Amino acid sequence: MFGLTRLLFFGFVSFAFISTGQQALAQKSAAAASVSTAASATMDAETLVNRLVQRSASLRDLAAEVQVQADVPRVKIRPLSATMHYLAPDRFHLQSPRLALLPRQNPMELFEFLKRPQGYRGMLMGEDKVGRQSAVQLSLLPTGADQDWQLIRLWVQPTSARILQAEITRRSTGTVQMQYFYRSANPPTDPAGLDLPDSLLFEMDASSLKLPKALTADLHRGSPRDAAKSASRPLQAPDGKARVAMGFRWISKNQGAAARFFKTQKAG
Amino acid sequence: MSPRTLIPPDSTVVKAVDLVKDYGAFRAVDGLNFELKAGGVMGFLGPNGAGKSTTLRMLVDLIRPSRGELFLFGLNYRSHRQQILARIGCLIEKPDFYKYLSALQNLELLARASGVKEPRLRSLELMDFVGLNGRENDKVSSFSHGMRQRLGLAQCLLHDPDLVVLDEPGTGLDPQGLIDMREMILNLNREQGKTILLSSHHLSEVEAVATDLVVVDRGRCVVQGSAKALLSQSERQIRITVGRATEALTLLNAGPWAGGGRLNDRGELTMALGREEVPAAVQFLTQNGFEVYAIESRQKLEDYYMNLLNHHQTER
Amino acid sequence: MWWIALRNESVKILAKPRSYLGFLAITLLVGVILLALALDGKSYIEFVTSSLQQSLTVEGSMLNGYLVGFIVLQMLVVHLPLLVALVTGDLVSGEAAMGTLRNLLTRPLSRKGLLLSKYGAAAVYTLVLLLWLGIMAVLVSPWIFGVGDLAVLSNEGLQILPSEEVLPRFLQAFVVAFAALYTVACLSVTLSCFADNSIGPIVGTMATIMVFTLIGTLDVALFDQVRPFLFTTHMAAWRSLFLDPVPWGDILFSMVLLGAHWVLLIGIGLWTFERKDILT
Repeated sequence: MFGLTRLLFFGFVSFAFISTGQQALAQKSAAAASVSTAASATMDAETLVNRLVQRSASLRDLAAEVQVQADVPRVKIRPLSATMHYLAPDRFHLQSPRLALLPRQNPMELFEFLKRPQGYRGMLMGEDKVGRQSAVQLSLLPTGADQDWQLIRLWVQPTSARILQAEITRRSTGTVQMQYFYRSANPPTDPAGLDLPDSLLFEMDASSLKLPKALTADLHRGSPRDAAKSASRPLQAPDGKARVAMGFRWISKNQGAAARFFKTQKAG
Repeated sequence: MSPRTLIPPDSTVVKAVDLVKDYGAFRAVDGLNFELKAGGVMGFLGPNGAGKSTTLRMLVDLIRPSRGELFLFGLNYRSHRQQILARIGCLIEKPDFYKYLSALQNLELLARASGVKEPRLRSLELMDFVGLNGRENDKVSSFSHGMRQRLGLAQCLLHDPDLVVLDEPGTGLDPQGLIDMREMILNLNREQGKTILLSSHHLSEVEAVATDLVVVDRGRCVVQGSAKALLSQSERQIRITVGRATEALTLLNAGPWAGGGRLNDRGELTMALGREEVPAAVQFLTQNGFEVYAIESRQKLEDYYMNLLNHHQTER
Repeated sequence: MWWIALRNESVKILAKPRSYLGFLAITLLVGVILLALALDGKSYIEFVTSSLQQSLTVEGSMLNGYLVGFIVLQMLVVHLPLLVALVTGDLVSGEAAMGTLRNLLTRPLSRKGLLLSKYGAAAVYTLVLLLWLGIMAVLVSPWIFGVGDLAVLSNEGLQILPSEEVLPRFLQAFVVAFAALYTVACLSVTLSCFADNSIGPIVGTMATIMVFTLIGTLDVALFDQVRPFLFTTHMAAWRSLFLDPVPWGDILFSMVLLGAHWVLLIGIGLWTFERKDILT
């Protein structure tokens, strides 16, 4: 049931961008499953990390039209279209006339993180499946003790080093899971070519999400009993998870659009 | 405003039939009957608590009778309230106005409520009539009591009523104010042909203007009739200023004039005597050692009224 | 004649210094709220969204003119009944106390007509007061804080409404708020018909609101049947206009119930006033 809800939810956002690509991906990935399983057997963590670093290294400047839909318990917000600007290493801005709920981390943070392999060490944890796709699971652990993040788990397509899913655990904000969706079934042939997802689904625990009672109590609408009933009935996400889906239509990759944008912003 | 109909002379403007008003267990008006003919000035008299104000309020539909019938211009309030009120102007008790509005604004507002076609013009006209010209734009809060009484008279004339009901219009007025009020009432009656119902404790003022009298006591009509007839029919009052008046009264009551004398509120001896009895009464007093300083023969409303009430209250 | 009487009533309300207390109070209160939010609004937003911001971030400014306007409305709609009752509770009894009711009732105007003109004047005053609050909330606040999506907290949680939907919702909310406030006005005018002093109806109105609100708030099963029919339960029905989707059924019920209160209260007022002895 939950899987179906998630699929429907994500399908809404990704429809405009990846509906046709996703079908192709599903068909091709099923065919490639047997090949990738064989490849992962010969791959070690260092090689995989190196390939991921190589793919991420060129990420500098991005601009995209983005569709955002947030599904957060006790929060109701409509999907919105906006323009996203990202300038390495950490400048991110969503240009929107509307309020948007986004994950605390910016969507490119993982790529930025992967660029600096001296900060972590990788361990292969074996094979797994993401949807119907085969993947190897790679765990990254911090080399320093004073890091906020504690563990990153990546599900990577072994043949292409494409990230299919990630999970970041932090002391401060807990665990955030990310699923990566791509319109093209195959990543760029250039091992150093950027392989950016066309959609991203963030999922995080929201069971501890609370809104101030003093402000939510509505004296005039029914009894406190009604209010209590209402408060215990989440609007969405019955599993207590908050989800934010982002669908991208890339405008420019490494062509300086974000740099120009932030420069204008600073000047403005 | 509803169309005006001319009142035939001597037609009945007010007719109260067995009028009763109860406030819980207290009966303020107890079967009151009286009539007021068109063109007259009726003095409506009675002691405090006699039911005068209650009756006047019933006349202008501020209070609904508990029983009995009240006809004004031959109509009653149940079926013709607006038609009746279009022909009545009243000043009940004290003149109260919106203190935060000017005199003119107050009159204009009431003129509009009365259906007057040109409220401003009519208001100015009446301010002139009551002698308040020049004070039109002053707030009522700055007016003296006398000025408010004048404004009160003006407001009750706004819609040119046929019947003017005035409840204590002279209260708080200085002597000149009382004279002016009297003149205005006479003007309204004689020059403008209005029928006036006047309730007042200023008996001399009532006496000066009234053509008819109704005296009420304890909610009932004690007497009604033309002022002239009532005053002439009654016994003449002789006021004797005498030393030791109380002793003189005791002596008189024990003698041939038993029950005929009384002391008025100034301590003077007053007696109801025929003209031919006066020398004998004076002689009787002087022979018994009383010094008679003055003898005044008079028939004033005040004496008539006091006498009437004394008799009525003694009888009850 | 009714229009003339209504005009007269409006002239009196306009000339009465007390009538401006409400406007002054609203201006001052809104000023204080705007100043407080301008100085410390971010903390307020952080307080509301602190739990949310542990794992999510809000892009864009939640503290905008629409939110401030909504906060202003929410805070002041609590005070408006008092400001309304202050004037409308005086409409009959104040005149009785002043003695001017005598002057009015001896005019060739039906008592029903006169009282209906007072109910009409109460409606005009309530509307104008609400409009003033609306100007302060929906025009002045956005002028100072700018516009944007409106984040509304309710029993349902946090709802974020697109800015283009906010103004029409505010307009509809004002209609519903008017229905609620006019019920208060009707109550105070009706109570005013029973009294000969100004204070009684004002205190009576506020006491009724307090008692009904208490009944509506106490979680006692005995009151469950009564609660939906108390007008105080529907005083904040305007807030439902900011839910998504709008519960039109609930709002319709609130409007019908408030309308029924108008009819009942005006009926009681007319019946009483028609039979009232004017003794002052």
